Amino acid sequence: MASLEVDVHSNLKSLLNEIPRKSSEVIADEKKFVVGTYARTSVVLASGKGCKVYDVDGQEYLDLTSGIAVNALGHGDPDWVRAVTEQANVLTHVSNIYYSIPQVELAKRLVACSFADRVFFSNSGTEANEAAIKFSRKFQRYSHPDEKQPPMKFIAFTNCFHGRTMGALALTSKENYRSPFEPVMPGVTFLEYGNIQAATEIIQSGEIAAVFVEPIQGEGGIHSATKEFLLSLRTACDNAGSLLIFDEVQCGLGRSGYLWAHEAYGVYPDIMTLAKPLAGGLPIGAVLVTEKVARAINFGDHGSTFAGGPLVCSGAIAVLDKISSPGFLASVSEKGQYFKELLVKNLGGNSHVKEVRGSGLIIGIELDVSASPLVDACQQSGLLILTAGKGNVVRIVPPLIISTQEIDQAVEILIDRIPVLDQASTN
Amino acid sequence: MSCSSLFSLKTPLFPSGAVNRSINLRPNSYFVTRASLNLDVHSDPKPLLNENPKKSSQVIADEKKFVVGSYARAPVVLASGKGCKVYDVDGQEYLDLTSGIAVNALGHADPDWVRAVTEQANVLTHVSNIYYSVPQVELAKRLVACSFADRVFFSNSGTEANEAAIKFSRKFQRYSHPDETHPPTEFIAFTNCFHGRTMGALALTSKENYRSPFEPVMPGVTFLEYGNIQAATEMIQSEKIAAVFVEPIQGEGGIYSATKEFLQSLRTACDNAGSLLVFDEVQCGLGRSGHLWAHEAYGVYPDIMTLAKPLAGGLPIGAVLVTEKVACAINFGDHGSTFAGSPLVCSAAIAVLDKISSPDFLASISEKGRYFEELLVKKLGGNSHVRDVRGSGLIIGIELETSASPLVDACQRSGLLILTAGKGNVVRIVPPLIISTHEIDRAVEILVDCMPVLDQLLSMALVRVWAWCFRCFRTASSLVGAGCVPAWGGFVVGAGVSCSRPVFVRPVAFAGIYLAPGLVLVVFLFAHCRIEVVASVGVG
Repeated sequence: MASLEVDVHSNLKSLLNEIPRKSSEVIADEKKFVVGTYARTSVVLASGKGCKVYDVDGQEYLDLTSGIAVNALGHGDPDWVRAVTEQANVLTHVSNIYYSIPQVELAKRLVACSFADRVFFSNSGTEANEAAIKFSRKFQRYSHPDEKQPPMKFIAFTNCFHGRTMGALALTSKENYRSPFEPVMPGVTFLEYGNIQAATEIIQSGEIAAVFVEPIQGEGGIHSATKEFLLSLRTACDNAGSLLIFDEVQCGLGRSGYLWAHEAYGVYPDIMTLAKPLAGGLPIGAVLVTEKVARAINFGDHGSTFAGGPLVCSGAIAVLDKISSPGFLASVSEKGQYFKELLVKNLGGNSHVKEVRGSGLIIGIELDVSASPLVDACQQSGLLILTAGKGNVVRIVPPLIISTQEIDQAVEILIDRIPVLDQASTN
Repeated sequence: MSCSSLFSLKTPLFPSGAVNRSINLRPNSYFVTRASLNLDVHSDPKPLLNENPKKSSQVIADEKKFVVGSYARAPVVLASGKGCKVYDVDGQEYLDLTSGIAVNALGHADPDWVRAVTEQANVLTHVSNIYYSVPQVELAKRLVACSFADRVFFSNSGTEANEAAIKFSRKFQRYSHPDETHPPTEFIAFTNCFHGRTMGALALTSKENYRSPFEPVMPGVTFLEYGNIQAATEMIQSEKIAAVFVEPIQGEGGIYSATKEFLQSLRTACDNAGSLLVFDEVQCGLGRSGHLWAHEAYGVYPDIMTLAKPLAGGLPIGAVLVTEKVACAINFGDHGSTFAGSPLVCSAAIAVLDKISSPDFLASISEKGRYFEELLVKKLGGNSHVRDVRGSGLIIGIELETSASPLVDACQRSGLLILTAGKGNVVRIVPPLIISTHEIDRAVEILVDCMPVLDQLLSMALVRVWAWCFRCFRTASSLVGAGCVPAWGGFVVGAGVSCSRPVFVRPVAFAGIYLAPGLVLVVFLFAHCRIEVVASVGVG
């Protein structure tokens, strides 16, 4: 109810029904009013349900992108919608000056189902990695109180991706993401992903605050670490006093078939960063830490105005409760295996397909050519897929609720359209 | 290990005292909400609200156990809100002058905002920026239509918006100086500023102890005195400066407004040198100052403006508004975000922007801001602790000559929530922009009522000082009188007895107050009782 003294001048038009938009109009407006950082696919999405999305012209698509591995429960999950709409009527945001229950409840749940002892919330994956950077450096200062130069440097790996803000960006290997913005945060060394010897040597230098690694590299091309590699990092970090940070922003929260990707390896980090699927599409990040790390963090060391808000955390609780159920995780594993086997069976023999790899419902199809023509062709046939790596890897990250029937349908469309790569390579 | 066995949807979140709202969902024009037949729906139909009432103390204890200890929170566990009122889990009502740090511009549970969010959540929440979506484009159009800008980039927070501004500035300079090996890449920021906590924005944030534990941050930032035209002009003239970041009204820093001359001088110097001028209006923008944009009051326009806080009514969002000149330099792949610009968050922001940008709404903020400030000056201006009342619109600071914390605590106990700023001696008032004059009156009443706590603080300290002196003297006398110890030793023991009392655990600021009378006592004893000073410390 509006306060009696406020002149309520509401100009709210329902975007759903009052401004009918053609794709071409929306695309033209975006080109005019939005900073041109995104080379978007020419699809204007308007609504979604489960694994299906619909554009403004009513065209249906089977969504294997989940908005880049975000919509783990698909679109319009009823429990998530209910949690969010209820909470929106009650309390949305208070800042971290005050306590609120959803933040604390979400933290408890995350601690209960992980290696961690405590959680820090942020608004995105890049913010989570920024917090991890800060916690690592603070931890090292705290652990080496008498040293003028405590370990301040970081190791990250080739083909990694940790974010776009100046700290996370410094950890992100792709040169042309960083070079126009130099100087970024100093102190990062990039090593070859999987190279145990190189990593162990640098960590042994005693200058490394932390090692950032994705157990499964998503943007980088769907490359999974080996157990030996992760274990070698764990051992080297333990010996040198460096922290081991697993970036599970994309591969965490059930995506790999395990709740946490690192569970498959039995190797545990000091810090884990999460984001993407955690709040069902609302902006969120989380940094899970051990008590050893948490002890080094004091009031005022870090903060965020929005993070941990009641509304976003309520959304996250609905997601986490669902994903963390053993039945749900088992189904992700099962469907992932089914999907991969079906791809190998139907596409494995194709001359352009080098490899089909992945875990659970993060699957990569490496091609010997650019995947773009296939992405476009699939889109025309009603299937949305992503790319990864150098653009030659098809990245499949559907909602974790995808059905076997939808998997069958997806593979059918892929088989149907893969000949476009022959035409492309001829051209 | 599964969470659900320990914490399922059966574990409710809210006490029975929470305010209930009716949810009016309009029929979804595309779909009826229905679970997919193939989904293993592990869902408890009981709502998360109202099932196991939580006590404040329980929540606070849990936070201390499960959340990284980066926040020194007020001991208030908020559960619900409506308009300018919030309620804690015990049902206690508070008048909210914080808006969650200048975020809840339309107050809590604004019906148009709730409706926009509820509708959109049933339709489409997130698609990423691989695809187009209507709310993002509509929001961008509206922001462009009501500002200096030509284009918008969305982010998820204020710090992310400033990070984007940093990147856009450096890219712009590389684009403008294609043949130079060292184009301008440095930045200027100002004393008492705040731009964010991530490594780039952090490098621009002046407070030393926010930065030093995390060095080395992003290099290339120089801090100059806020308002110092000469220093800024000289540095910009060096032509090494990619951009100058400035808040037209510094919020965290203590509610300091720039002068027109200062902003104009920055504009001119930047124009001459080819540097970009970036206005951070994350806190002071979007109606807070009584103008839609704080810089409108000055008639000085930036190249880039960053926004966040109130834009989406409490959902995480940031925005970077840029001129075409800046936008030309930005290419595909230069920057990005997975979440930013989503349909749900942008729909919420459209509801907020449509309301705030109405001329009547803005006029009402100016009016109420003036009323609030005048009332504060009238009722508190004469108070000996109040140095200054300042601000614009509904961002008001009351500068005290002492720490504002006791006043914040006292107000909270009386049902009024306020913030601090600056070095902790400035009361920061940033209520929802919909606050009524009646609520303003009530807020000032409570402030007036609670101000004496600042006096009590001083007189309490003085009482303790004299009590301490008395105890010292009494203990010293009895020991000396009994011949147990020399007078000096008696003083030391007496002081030690007093030190062991809890009252002695006080902030360092009071150490002087305690020591001073002690010194007086020593001088008295020395002068009149002919104490033999023992060289070694302690009882002889």
